[in-house]
Amino acid sequence: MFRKYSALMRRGIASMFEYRASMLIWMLINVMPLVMLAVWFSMAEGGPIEGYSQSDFVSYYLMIAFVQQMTSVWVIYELAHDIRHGELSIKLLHPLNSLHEYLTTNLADKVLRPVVLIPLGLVAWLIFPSIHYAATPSTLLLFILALAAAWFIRFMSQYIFGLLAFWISDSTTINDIWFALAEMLGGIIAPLALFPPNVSAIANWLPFRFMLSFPVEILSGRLAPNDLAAGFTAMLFWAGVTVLVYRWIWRKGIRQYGAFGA
Amino acid sequence: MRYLKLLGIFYKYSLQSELEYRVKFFTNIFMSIFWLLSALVSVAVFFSHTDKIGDWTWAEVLIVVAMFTFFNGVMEAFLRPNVGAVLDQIRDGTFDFVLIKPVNVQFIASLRNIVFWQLIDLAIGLGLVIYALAQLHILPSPA
Repeated sequence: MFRKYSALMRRGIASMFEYRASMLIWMLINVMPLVMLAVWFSMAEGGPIEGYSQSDFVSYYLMIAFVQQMTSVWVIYELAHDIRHGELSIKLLHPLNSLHEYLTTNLADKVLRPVVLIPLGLVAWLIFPSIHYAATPSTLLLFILALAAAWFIRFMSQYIFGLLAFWISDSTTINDIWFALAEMLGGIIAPLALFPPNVSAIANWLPFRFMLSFPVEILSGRLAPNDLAAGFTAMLFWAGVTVLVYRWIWRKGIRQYGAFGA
Repeated sequence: MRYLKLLGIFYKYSLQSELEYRVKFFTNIFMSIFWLLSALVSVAVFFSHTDKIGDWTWAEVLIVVAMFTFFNGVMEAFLRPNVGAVLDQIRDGTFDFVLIKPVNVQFIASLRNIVFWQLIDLAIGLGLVIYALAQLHILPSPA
């Protein structure tokens, strides 16, 4: 399995290098966190908002942007294309479940992205020296775990929506709704703590938080140990749900696909 | 006059081809409303912590959101379907068929298509502007 993965990863990295210019543009195109940062930054001018000062907002949104980049997925477009054009048939003949092929293509991108993102982060740090994170070895470890899980939940949920292309023609619309909700309730328009209390009480348990905000919250050092434990439990739960739903949909879908051919 | 009649025919066909995909027609309308709501939610979150962003009050920001919705609708309904079609036609070589038509080529290339469901953005945008203006007590008065 490890050898298969490393071979697939090498293939993925090679194909990323072929498209390095467009890859760079894709990375820089998402400015949503920075726009929201600008709004909150100007609002916090007169003093901190519920404990968030201007430099807290800068730290928060820069890390949000980083996590968003490191968890970005686009598998639904590949999958929808492969299903519609029958190219999935070729992948089905490979001796490894197609999920792993799509997964490694995305992972290859995640290996390369820090090469661009870390220098950008250093520049941001020079501009805003007040950026600060609770970066102890243990929080860093938890952050990396949560980051990996956030990527996984994002990837699997989008893969599931992609598989809906077996049945419906515009599966991307459902995916759009899902990711718009993820922007709203995942901590982009505001840190979840700044939502009205009853909204954030719900948002804390929805999957969207674990697709973006949770790793950032860990690094901010604002989570008490029992919040951390609850968060990781919920995160594991959602990751498990995506795996179960994927298995079920894949089994049904592949039968459907075989029935009509491509 | 001839051109108005042509425009009527174009729009009739656009509407017919859209209604062929009825599910898509309704999901698109739903999406329009969804996008607007999500914009409103973010603005509402900002204003739950402050009365003014910069010098802008809630109703004034609403007008910005509404105008964005409106003009985005204009772009998506009238401009994008035609500009996008020209690109495709030039690549496929079917633009020749547009060039040989016995009418003004610019007319047919820029007005042939319309996306009807996007008109809902125009309606929502306009409605929201009126609502926000009423909140600001800015009402049209006979001059």
